[in-house]
Amino acid sequence: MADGPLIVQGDKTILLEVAHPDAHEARHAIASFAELERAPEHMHSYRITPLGLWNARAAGHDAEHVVDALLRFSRYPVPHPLLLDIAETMARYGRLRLEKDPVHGLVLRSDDEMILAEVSHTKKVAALLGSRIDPLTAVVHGSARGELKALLLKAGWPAEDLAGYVDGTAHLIALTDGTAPGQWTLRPYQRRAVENFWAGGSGVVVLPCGAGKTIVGAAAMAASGTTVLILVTNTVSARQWKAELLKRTSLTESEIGEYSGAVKEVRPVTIATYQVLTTRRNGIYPHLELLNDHDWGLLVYDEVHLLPAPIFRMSADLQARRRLGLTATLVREDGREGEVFALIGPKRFDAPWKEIEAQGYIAPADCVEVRVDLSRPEHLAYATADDGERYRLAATSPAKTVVAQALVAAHPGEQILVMGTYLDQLDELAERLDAPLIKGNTKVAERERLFEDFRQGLISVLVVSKVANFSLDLPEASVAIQVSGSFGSRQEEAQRLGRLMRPKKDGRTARFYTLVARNTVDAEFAAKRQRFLAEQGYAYRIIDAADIR
Amino acid sequence: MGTLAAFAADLANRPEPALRKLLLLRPDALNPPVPTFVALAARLSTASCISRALDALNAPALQHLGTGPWNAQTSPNSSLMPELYARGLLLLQTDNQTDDAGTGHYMHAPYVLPLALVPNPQMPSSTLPPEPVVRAVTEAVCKNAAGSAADALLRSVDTLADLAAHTPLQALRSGQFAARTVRLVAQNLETDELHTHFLLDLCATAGLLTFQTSTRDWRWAAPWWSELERQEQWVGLIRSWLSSPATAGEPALTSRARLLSVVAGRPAWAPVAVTSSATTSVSPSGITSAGALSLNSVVESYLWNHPRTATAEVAALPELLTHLEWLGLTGAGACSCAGDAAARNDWLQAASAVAQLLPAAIDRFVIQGDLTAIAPGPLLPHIAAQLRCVSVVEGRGPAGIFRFSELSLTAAMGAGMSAETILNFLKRYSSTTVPPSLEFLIAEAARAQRTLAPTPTQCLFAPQQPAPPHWVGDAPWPGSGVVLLEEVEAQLALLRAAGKNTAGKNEAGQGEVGPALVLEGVRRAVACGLKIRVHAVNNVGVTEHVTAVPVSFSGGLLLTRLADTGAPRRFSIHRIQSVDVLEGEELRG
Repeated sequence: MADGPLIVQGDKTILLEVAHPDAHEARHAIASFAELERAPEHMHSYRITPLGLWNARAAGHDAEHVVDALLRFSRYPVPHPLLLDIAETMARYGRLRLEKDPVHGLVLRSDDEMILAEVSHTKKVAALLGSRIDPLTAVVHGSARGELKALLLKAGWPAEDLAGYVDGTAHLIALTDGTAPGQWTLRPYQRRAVENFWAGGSGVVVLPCGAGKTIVGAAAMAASGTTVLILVTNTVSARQWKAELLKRTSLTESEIGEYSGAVKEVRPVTIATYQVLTTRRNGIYPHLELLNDHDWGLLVYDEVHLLPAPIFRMSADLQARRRLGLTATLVREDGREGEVFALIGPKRFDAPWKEIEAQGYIAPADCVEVRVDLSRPEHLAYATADDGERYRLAATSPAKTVVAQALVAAHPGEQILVMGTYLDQLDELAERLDAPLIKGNTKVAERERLFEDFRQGLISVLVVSKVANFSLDLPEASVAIQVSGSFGSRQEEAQRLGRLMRPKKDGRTARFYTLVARNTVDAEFAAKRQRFLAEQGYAYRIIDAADIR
Repeated sequence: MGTLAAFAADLANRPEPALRKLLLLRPDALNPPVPTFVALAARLSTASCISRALDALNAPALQHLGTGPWNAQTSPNSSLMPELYARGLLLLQTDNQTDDAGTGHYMHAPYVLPLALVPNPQMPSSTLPPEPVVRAVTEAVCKNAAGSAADALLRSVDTLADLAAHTPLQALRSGQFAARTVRLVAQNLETDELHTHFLLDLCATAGLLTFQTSTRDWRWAAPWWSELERQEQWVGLIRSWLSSPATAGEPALTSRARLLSVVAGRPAWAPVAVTSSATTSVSPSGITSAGALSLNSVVESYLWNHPRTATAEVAALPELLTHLEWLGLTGAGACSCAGDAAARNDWLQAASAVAQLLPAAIDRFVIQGDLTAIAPGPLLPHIAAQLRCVSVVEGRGPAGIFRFSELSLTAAMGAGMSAETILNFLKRYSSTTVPPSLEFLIAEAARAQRTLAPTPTQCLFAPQQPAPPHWVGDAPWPGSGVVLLEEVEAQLALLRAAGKNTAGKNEAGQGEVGPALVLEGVRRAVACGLKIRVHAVNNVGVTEHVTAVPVSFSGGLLLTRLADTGAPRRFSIHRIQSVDVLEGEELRG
């Protein structure tokens, strides 16, 4: 029996022994088809899913490659039914192909009449198909490319999209990297991410917060050499993108436009917010046309895990354009990973957080759960409250305010973010800590000023609501205190930790405190929230509030 | 000399190696042991014993048997005759009359044989084995498939053991597993109901699950199961499966065992024997390079090798092939090394072969910050049991994943474990340090436990166990067709001690010889029209002595006409103690 680093389970999970000498090679071998699910300190677990296998097929790997990798690195015999299932699942990809026919335009073609008959039999698919050219080919309505792909994926027959992409309007974009002293260089994993994306045509790149996803986007733009539309979560993020592009590429101020609530500029590179695109007036989305009314050669979806439904719908019509999704947490709380696969594209690159940390590109972090006791009156109120009220009562316990003050006092001279969800709680905290507060109604200019003061060290403590969950670049923040969250949201937890992940100048370890009310639903939600980070290898220490000096 | 006496004389004159071979090929003679050669001849001449011997014959052998008598030197299929003779299916005629022709020994069949040779229209006519269609399977793929199947099988049985030890499995009045039970087990095993049925039947066959008639449920009856080595567990399951009939009324060598011999490409009628202390010398490489037979080839080969039973069993072959795969006897359709050894009834070799494929039991696990313990292989049973006590099992595969939660720890404490006991256990068997988060969780659970103050109950550890059986290389599994050489030697010693008494006079009416002599006498009298004197017990237990003319013998009834009055008289064969054939008093008219 081989002594490999992998243990392949019958339930389609793969365990990888991190300390094994062949672990790195094995990780590489399975990365193309297995999804990293958990990455704790000793054994990482991957899952083999149809999406993952189709991702691999889309990247040019066949079933033999997958089976070989499993047999080669597996410590124990691999369940034979699993190997058969892998072969059968992978064989489904590409049995249907979307192609460009010189006469009929977009067509759906199969090498098996029965498969085409099977999928055409469903009403929804039939509505998207036109006449049959022959028993193996059906015409597809030009606008139905994305919708059809999504439906075929659901039916278990993912179509290979060979219909190609439009070129888009050419626009030269060059990176400013170089090897001379003082110049920046593309990191190896960033380079591989871009190469994988470009080879695949469209798809998603998953990298930890602070690992330089924006640079991956910039490199993809340079590879495309066309006009680009970048979709981001909010205006602050749009401006950070702009600043980063100015720094990392040959683009000038005049070539980059902002399309937000405040400004509506359309330039060769346009950065638009999800919010403005999904603004609805009289039942229509007036700004969504921005997506399709211009000849973009590349669309970049920042924080693709947050992509709102209208953008998904619109993306279905944009299948002729190259699409790049960027995220740190491809965990959709709404379970729409399949739509990301069908409409944005397969996952092209994924790197475990701890691996990037080991390479020194993101800061090491110490996650601490601080258990706080509710006072007797609070506990009585909690015990008699309705279910709907309980979480708020537990999450906003005044006892947490005291602990937060103690934690701030315990980190003199450090840049501290205090994060929460409930505004009353944040107001009180800001007052007690004598710190500025950024929340939803804080003007963009005011936000930017406060963030800049924080970056400059003029402010050492900043209280923020969930507006600061994403896409916020605060390199010197080294301590975060999370007082409340959005119930059990795993991605919020990860994104909040992500605010601390930029490597510190002095190599300091970041501290991420979560205050949790003991013996309440707050503790249950905290456990759920921590799952993603725990799975990425972040071990939470649990301490008692009384132990904080 | 009667046929039985002639057969006994033939047996008595056989050299010892030939007798040894006969006993190996016809193990019916060993259980219970027979005291004399006459008794041996009687045992081997019974219809059921001959039927079993014929079941093992292939098409050419059966065809040949249907064409006797034969001259041992001039018969066209003379190569088959020594084998048939060795099996006691042909008798050597040695008296002067038959040998006068000077053409060598003549052979004929025991008298029951023609009755057993029912014409079979589906009997393959070819004397050559069918040409198989083989799909290439590499040894690595075969090993992987067989190994993973054997491992999955044992894990499933472990899960079933855990379930059934705590929850009796409800059954129907007939003893069949209730549909709801099957669904419950299927959910626990994370498999489909077909596979679940197979596993339940397997465990019942192996005696691991026993039916309680009073409560109408099946219960785990093998608390010693977890103490066995994994390869021994596998051998036990395989031996019980191979020796139990797939359908009711199957002969001792079951269709499962016959199918395995076909898939393994082993001659169907090769003698098999093992000793309890030594293995036979067989190449460990097995025959995996032979590849996987197509279903059609299996069916054809099965028909050719076992024409007497195949007709009724062919329909079940696809399902049985699936079962061979689930058991790890085949891997990706090709016979595995362990399967090959099993086909030869070499259980030490089978155990050794499967042990090379099964993950070895380990005594260490790692604990991670996400509150899971991972055992990168099957844990030793006592460690696994204790770990299950404090956590919840996740996933399905060779590695064990155990998740700790406040609930699981509280439950363990409720079952009598203290925080200190749990921590000590984890520290003792974890190859990594216990993360602070888990220590904190244990402290929290202890705090909650103190608040609730439950009454400690006994922890669900493995109960006291009786001694486990020894399945590898020990006594043959009932009905498996396996013969221990020791048994054969004991039988031969018994026969030697009895001497070459082949007349059977002293044994008339005793043991198995009496009924055999009665049957032989009755059949001869009916065939030759001879008067007989019947010694029979009437319905009040008094022995009668009647002289009669036999008319017919069928269905266990002997119809006669009384010699003096001509009145009809019927005798149930079981009431007849003995029969004297009155030679020279042929029925006239």
